[in-house]
Amino acid sequence: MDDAKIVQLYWERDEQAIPATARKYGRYCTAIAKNILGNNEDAEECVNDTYLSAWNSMPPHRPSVLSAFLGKITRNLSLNRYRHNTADKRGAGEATVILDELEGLVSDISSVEQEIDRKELVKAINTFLDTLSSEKRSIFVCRYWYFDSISNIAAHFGMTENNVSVNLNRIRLKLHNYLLERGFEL
Amino acid sequence: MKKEEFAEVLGDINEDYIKEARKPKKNRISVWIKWVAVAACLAVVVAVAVFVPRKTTDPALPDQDETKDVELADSNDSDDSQAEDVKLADNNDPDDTSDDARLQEQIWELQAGDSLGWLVVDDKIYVQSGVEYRETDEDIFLGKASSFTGNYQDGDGCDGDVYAAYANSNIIYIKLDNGGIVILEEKTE
Repeated sequence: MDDAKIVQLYWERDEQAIPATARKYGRYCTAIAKNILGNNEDAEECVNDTYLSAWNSMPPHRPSVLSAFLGKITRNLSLNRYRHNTADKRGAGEATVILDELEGLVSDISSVEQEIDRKELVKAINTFLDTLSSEKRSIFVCRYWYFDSISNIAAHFGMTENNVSVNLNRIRLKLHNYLLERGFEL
Repeated sequence: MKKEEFAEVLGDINEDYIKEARKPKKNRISVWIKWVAVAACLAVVVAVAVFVPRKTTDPALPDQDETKDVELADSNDSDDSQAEDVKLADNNDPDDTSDDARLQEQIWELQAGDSLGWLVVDDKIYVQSGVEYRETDEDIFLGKASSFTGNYQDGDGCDGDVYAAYANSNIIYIKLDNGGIVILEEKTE
C-alpha cells in the first residue's frame, strides 16, 4: 500500500491504518528503537506507542514523508525511554556511545540556562548538512539520526569501520566550527 | 546544551536527508553502458540456454558443473563500469530445454516492457512494485530462494547485484550487494 493511502486511512479514522503501517514500516521503526534501546522488549513498546502517536497526530498532520514522520516519533519515544532506563543504569543500545560522541559538540549545560533558538539551530544544521556530499551526509544521518552502529554503516557504504569513524569525526568537527562561527555556543 | 538535547535537535533535520540515508547506494554509470551491459548479459543467458543442454551429448564441450549453478556475464569484466550481473542459479534439470526457453521468453518479454527491476524465481516473474529501505534483517533471507535469475535496476538509476532472494506468496524480497532490500511483486497479466 502506498504512503498516501496509509495516511488517508488515518484521516478517515480507519483502524486498518495501524496494521498497514506495521506491515510497511514496522521493521523500519523497530530497527531505530532497537538501535537506541538495545533490547527487543522496550523497542517493541516504543514501536507500538509510535502507532498510537501516529493515530493521534493524523489528522491534523499529513506527513509528506511518512517513513521519516514515523521514524521521528519512534526516535523521540526511544530517546525518552532511554533516558528513563539510564536514570538508574546505562543502556545496552548504541545510544550511549553515540551520545558520548555528540558530547564534544556541546557544553553539557542545560539549554534552559542558554538562550538558543532551537528552530534556528535546526536550520543551521540543515544548511551545514546541505554543504556535505550525499554520502557523507547519509553517514552522519545514519549515525546520529538512526543510531546505526559503525559496523552497519561501514557495510552499507562499502567502507572500513575506521574510515567511517574518521569521516564522522571530521564531520562533527566541521559542524562544531560551523555552528560556532554562526554564534551557536552550545 | 546537553548531548541528549542536541540529539533531540538532530531529530528535526530535513526529512529528505532522513529518507536519503536509507536509500541503497547508487552505482552511477552512463545509460548506454548500462543497456549494452544488460544486452550482453542477456545474450550470454540465451547462448547458455541453447548450448548447455547440448553439453551432455557433445564431448567437445566441458563437463556439466555438478552444482548446476552458473554465474554468468559479469559485465565488470568487459569494462570498468559497475553494471549489474545477471545471475543464473538454476536448480532445474539442465536438460529441460522447454523450461529454459520459456524462461528466456519471459525475460525478453520483460526486457521489452517498461519494468526495470525484475526477477524470475521458480518460474514466476516478479516486478518492482515498491521499495522499502530498512535495516537488513538476516532472518528474511534464511530461507532464501535457491533458484533465481534477474537483475535490479530502478528508474532512478539505482542498481545492484542481487545476492539473496526470498519468495513469500506473491512477494519477493531481494537483497542487493549494496545493502538495500527491495520488494518485488509477482507479475500478473
